[in-house]
Amino acid sequence: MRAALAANPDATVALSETALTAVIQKALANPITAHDSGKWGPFEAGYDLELYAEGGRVELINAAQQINLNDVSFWGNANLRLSLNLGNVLPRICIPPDRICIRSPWGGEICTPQVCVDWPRISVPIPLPILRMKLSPFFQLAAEKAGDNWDILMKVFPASLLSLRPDLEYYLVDRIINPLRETVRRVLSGIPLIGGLIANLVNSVLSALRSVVSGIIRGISELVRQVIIMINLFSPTIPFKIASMPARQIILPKGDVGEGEVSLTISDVSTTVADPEIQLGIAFA
Amino acid sequence: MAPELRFLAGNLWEVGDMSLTNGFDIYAALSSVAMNKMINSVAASRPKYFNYSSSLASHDPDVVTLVSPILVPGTNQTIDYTIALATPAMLLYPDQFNPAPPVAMPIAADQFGLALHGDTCIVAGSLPNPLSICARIAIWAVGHTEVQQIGSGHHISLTLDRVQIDGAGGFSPLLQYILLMMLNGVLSRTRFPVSSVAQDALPFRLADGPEINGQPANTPPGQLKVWGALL
Repeated sequence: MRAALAANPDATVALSETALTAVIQKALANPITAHDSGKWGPFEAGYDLELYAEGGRVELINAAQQINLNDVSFWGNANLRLSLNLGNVLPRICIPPDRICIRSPWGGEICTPQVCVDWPRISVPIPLPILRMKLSPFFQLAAEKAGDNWDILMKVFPASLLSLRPDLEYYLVDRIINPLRETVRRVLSGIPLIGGLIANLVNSVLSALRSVVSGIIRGISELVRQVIIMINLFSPTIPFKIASMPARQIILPKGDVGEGEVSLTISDVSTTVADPEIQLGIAFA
Repeated sequence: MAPELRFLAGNLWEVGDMSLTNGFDIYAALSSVAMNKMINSVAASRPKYFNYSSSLASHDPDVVTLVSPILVPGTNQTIDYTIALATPAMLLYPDQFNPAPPVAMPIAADQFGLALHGDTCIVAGSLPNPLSICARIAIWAVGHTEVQQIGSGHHISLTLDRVQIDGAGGFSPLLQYILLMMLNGVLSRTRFPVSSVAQDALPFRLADGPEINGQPANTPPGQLKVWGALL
């Protein structure tokens, strides 16, 4: 495909690959934060996400009229808070287990004393690092009129974001289970008379967690993915604006009597990818 | 590998081996078509820059600039007159005047040309039967551009260096001198934004230009060009 602008543009603007990279880096400069939560079995999980983006080499592809952003890295932290009402997982334990009751000579019953454990609620903060992952999305360059402006846009090809799901499962399971084990053990150790039962009780909690931990991890992973897609640059539904130009260009504002406003209206903008730059052809009415 | 730049017949040009930006962050250019559209817009919105009259009896003050009438030497009589300048046509190098002025006056690199005509009438006789005695002169002028930074934007100011007229016989040198001042007066009140198409979105500082020529070889001729560094 030949790269050519509309014939005879009234005005021409070109932006070098270096400058375009600077504009994109600026768009990725700020850390991205998000929060989400969910319920998995008896567990409630809330996660605060902090994501950073870095790098990305702009590559202009004339033949396909495409802009590639190669090797953008993402990394960060998901700060998970796992909450659980132990009573929803642990069996009812009373000491002594059975009561002995006899009929009282005065009516009613007399029973031996029994204490039943009131299981507390626990909440465990677990920091989970998100290992560096790379994306190489690609974009189409376009100019569109939106309201009173002409926008110069980079539209991401959604297929280029498919490889996005971060793989958290293979190492995070232990990172979640170990802190939970420690917290549960510590909490249960504070409850008198159940010392001999603690090991089994901890295992009950952990097996309840094991059955849902994949779901929790998938929830975090999905949030990471959604957050990245919501970054302006990568949103499939809201294209990224490189520049926005008012359609009515005011050359001289209204002055004194007899000095009307002098303006030109942009009637069309054409764009082309022309390594090492992108070019805009502007036509005035 | 970029396709080759060629300036084809019919004014179609293609992106080149070298680029328009030529190592700078941003390139912005206005063709003579764009400059003429701007001049037409000035003439439509501010006609008083082009129309002068010493009597507003039959003219609207919004569209005509009032000037003093001519005092007839040795008398206490005044003569009313009007000057109407046509909307100028602008040419950018390498375009040349057509028709050409009587004395060759080429438009050189980094120069622009203006071609217009002016109609001057004196109002003789008296009301209610005024009599207009009119003359038309053809005017050619060449000048250079300067770029001024105003705020975050860049504006081109146009200054004429030479004026030539035809149709005034022996009076030509006098009228050329007066017209040079008049036209520069008009031009000083207009500035053309070269980068407004991008300046708000991509603010930059001027790094090279303005230039009206075919250099660097890859940029199309007949355009007013500037190069900038992104802020």
